[in-house]
Amino acid sequence: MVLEIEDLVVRYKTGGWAGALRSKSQRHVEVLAGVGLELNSGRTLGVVGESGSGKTTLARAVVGLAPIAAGVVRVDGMRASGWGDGPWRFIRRKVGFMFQDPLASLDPRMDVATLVTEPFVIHRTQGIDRRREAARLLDLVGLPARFLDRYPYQLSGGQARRVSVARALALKPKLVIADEPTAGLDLSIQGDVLNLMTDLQAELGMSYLLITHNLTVARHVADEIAVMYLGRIVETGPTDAVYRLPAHPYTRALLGARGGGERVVLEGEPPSLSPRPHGCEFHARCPIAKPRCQTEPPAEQVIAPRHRVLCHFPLIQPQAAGTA
Amino acid sequence: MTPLLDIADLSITYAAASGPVRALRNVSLTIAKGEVLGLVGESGSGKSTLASAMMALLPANAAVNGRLEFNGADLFALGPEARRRLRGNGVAAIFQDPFTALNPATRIGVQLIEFQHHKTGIGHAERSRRAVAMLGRVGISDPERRMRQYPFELSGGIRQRVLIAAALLTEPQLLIADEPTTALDATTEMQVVALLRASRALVDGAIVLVTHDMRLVADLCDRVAVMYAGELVEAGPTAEVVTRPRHPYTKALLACDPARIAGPVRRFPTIPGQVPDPAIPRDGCAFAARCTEASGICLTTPPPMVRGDGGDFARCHRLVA
Amino acid sequence: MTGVSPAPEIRAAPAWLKRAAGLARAVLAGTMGKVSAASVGLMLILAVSAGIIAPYDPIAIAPMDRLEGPSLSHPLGTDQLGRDLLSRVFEGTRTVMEVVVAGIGGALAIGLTMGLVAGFGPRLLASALMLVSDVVMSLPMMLFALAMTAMLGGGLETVVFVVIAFMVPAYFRVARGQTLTLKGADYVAAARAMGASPLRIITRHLLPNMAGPLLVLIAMDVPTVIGIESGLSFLGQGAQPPTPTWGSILRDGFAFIRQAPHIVLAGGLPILIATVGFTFFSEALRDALDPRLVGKKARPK
Repeated sequence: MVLEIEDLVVRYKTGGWAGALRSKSQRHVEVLAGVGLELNSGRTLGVVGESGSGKTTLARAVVGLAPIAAGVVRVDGMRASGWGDGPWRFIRRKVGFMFQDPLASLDPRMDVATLVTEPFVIHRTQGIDRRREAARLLDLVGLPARFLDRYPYQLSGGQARRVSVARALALKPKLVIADEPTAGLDLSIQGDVLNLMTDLQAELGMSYLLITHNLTVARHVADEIAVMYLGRIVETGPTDAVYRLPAHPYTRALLGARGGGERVVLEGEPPSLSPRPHGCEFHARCPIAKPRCQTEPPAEQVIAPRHRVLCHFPLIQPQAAGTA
Repeated sequence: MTPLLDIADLSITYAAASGPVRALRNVSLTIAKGEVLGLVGESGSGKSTLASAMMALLPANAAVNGRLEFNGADLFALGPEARRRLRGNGVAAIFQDPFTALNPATRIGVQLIEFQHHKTGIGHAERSRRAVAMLGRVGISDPERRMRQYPFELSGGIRQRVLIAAALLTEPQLLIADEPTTALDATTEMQVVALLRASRALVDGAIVLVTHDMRLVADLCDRVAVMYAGELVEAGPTAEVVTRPRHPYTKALLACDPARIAGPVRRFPTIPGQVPDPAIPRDGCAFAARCTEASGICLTTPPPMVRGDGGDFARCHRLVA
Repeated sequence: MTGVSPAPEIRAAPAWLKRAAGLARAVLAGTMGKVSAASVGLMLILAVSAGIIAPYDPIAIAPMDRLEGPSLSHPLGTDQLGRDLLSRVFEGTRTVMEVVVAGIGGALAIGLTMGLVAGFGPRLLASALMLVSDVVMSLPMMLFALAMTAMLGGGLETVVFVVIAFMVPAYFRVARGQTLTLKGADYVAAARAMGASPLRIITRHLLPNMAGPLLVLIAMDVPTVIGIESGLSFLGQGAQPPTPTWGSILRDGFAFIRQAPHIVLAGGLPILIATVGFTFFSEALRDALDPRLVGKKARPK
């Protein structure tokens, strides 16, 4: 198991000292309200959701870049929680991170050779010929060696993205987190990055945690899918199963929007996060909501061995208890 | 019948420090009253330049050749004052970023009333009434309360609706929507798409939808014009172009869309190569270097527009019978 | 470079050297840049070599030659005690530069540290530092200076203290602002995601990216420091006799302005050249740094 997340809660403080004088519930914004997932070696898990779903926060939490209030992150067996730096250093060594804006994630004062080999320096890898490693990494992502001496401002969006892939791969990570790898790219070159990632996975065997709002890409690239809404995973399962027969009404609406499924137009907007709504977060916009949804938070139900949904009235009958 | 917009052989060249940049090359297009046209292209296609030209909003260093007639009047022959009067009173626009298009320091209501400044016959109270009514028509609940709110109090989807309302209030003959849903979430996008569809009835003229998203075009547009490297490479009825594309670029672009790929695949098609540099003069077809069907003539001679049976035009040598 | 063969190649020059060279080229591109850089350079050379190239001992009194106008043996003339003004001006350059380096260096060190602390530390501490900084900034400079010299006595050490105290708030504000801005930058988050320690983030990612605005601030502050020192010396509170600085030469000259106007010129001219030169130099520097931050070369699509 490359990645395990249990009951992860992430809270951000809001406001200054004036906020502290307000009620306790308004002092924090709970961006992740208890998230759990698993990712096996060599597989790709797609985390899909809209803005405000918490998917980017989840990605950052895996490497300790979000304030974890509760829950556990386990990478390759090493467990980390809260703020202590120790276990995070180990985890960060094992995880490659690709940021959504590749140019912004490259220090403008460093050239490409320095950038892609920075992980070696941070983790004090001995006996490394830095420049040779940099050339090797660029070759891995299909960039010619003349890019070694270029600076970020001299790179196009696609080239910067390749550099960020190269850097993520420096220490041969077990897990690569890709935050919106196709954002901002023209349709005709989106395939370049995705094909590169697929090829690298076949060659090096790492797992991907793919964060995206692009459902059509996720469908093709991810083995499993986790759908997020307002800080919770509302449905998770094998991609094919979820796309063909979504169990959660939000998933169905989302797929109808861009996934080519039937059209269900959702009314309204996601509710405010502070304070969090009682009951099911989705009840206000849910086409099949019942009174119970407003007061009681739903429990996780099992549809099929790896297909789970968080809903009182899932669209597919859950398996009877005992056959999970 | 005079088309609403008649563009003939339009070329726009920017004078940049490093030399002339030809953003548009010999674009010819007509838009009839009452139709919805999709303008599709990727970065560097020139679609934004063309949209700006339609609004007569070109920067000072743009040299224009050719003709752009709006309701029979040559837009570029008009003086700046006449052009200014045209905007907001004939041509209206909705932009990609609803967050920055509104003045953050003024209430919505004030701005909506201000947008009606060209309607000289009516007073403040009437303008306010029209604004409230329009907010209701674009699907905003509790419009009177919204009128008193500031832009930062609204979510992205509501803001875009407000902007659509603002555009419709000017009763435009031409509504240009520049990537109206790119910045929005999938579910919000659906709502705005439904709204744009309903807006057809409210626009007594034409709508031009500028986008890179073919599916949006298939949803909303009667006709589509595909642009590449500053040139119009294919144009025709949407159903025709989307199901039976004739230009190699259109074919390749449609093939790249992951939504059109049936079963899950691991390798995505791409179009190898890069868009040609607009600063460099070229002889033949713009797409020749990346085209899988190119032959010798494609590199030396600009291709002609060839008309097809389905009513669409494509600029390609291979189509010449 | 051809291909990816790992054969030993000539290593590219270190990044900072390339950047410094590029910066120098950009600054020297315009006329203003050339002229101001020349005057700045001249000042620095004089400051360093004053002791060696001064023709006379700057504090040696020669009452026989007092109040002589400019001549071949004394290009700038002599003052009321017969001291060679040219040598005094050279020595004064060194003194002024010492004050500049000590003052700005001290302000930079303290302000930068405070700024980093305020950017990273607890909110309460940051607010307290801002408060202190705002109070100091609101004090009128000359009155503050005179009050300090009254309390601490005159002399160049007091001047340096005044300069540091007066300038720390500006460096603090820039450092804090830059820290807050850069703290949220994606490349800082990327460094953390890679496991970089806070120290590494500060030294390798924050400081180099803050260098630009700080460098411009330093260059723009030099004329201010020259002004403070010269002003205080002119008022008799700065350099104490016989230490020559431009301000004290000016002070001496003021008393004899009727008989020997050349003394005032000897004192005033360097102040003028230095102030104007550094001001234009800082502007050229700022212009050279600005577009580079954004990237002049157009991005290929």
